[in-house]
Amino acid sequence: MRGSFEQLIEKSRKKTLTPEDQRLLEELFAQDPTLKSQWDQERRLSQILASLPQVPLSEDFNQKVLQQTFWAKDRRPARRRGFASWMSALSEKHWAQAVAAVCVISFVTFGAYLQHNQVQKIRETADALSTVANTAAEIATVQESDLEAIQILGEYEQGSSIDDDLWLAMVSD
Amino acid sequence: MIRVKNGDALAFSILMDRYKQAVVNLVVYTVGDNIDSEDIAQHVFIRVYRNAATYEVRSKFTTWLFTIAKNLALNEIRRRKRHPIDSLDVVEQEEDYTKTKQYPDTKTVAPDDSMMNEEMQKCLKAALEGLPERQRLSLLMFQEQGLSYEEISEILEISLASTKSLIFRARDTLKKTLKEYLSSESAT
Repeated sequence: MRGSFEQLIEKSRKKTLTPEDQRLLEELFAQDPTLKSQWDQERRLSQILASLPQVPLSEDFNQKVLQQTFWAKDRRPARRRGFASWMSALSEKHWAQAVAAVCVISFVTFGAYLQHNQVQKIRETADALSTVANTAAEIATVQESDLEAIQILGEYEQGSSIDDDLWLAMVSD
Repeated sequence: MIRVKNGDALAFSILMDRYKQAVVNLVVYTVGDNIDSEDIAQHVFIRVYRNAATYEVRSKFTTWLFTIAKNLALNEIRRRKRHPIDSLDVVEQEEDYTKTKQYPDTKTVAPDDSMMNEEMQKCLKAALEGLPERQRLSLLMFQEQGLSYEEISEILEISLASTKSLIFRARDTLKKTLKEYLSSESAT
């Protein structure tokens, strides 16, 4: 009995009941009077749900959709070529990647510049050191020869007596 | 739909005229208010147009259309849950609503009936909002759009038995919530 009742409720949600269904329903009510109130509740709920008002629509609903579909396609500017299209694609779609790429390129360029400067400085320092070393070596040679001359003179003094007459003549002058 | 696939704007416009009210109703009553709902409904049709190439003629168009509508409506509900804001529009709209209701339509309905209906509508909307998303969606698609259990189960990607269960539970909850409006006295 319950199964038949549920089936009839189910059927009534989608379409109107046939006279045969109506007769079966009346029989069920006669057998179990509580089914009548359940039936009424079901019917009333369906009525209330059907009474939900239609949501008001704006008059330009279709226009707005068409603007973003068909008409947007027609309005799209002609495809640019070469570098310009590449740049516009970058700016329109991949701006974040473009900014990142510019940052990376700038960073790498700056790094290369610093590296180049450092190498240049090392080279200059090396050149300067080499010049200093050469000069020092030359000075060292001169001093050594001077020392030798002094040493020879010393040996000469020790080895022979000084011409006194000549010494006096030089002193008196 | 085949004409839409081939770029026929007129066919697309006819398609919109036929289904826009159903889509807007489903979106509004699923999301719970009118704010942004028309935009969402418009996006449903924009998606229909953009994905026309993927539409298979063997599947029913309404099933495909309401699947898109369901996805966008549920996305909106999730978005609102993530970013709950008290929009000023809601307040304005409610105020406007009460203002407009100060002018009863005496030509068609008696003032008492109008008030009764108005109150019932409010309760019904609140009761619908209180239902879980899937119960609400399945009930609306069943009652409002007249979709079959099979179609609803395809749209919600659940079994037929689960669909029937969702609708049964939704109706059962509404029966309890709207008890005072369901008695035979109030119906007459």
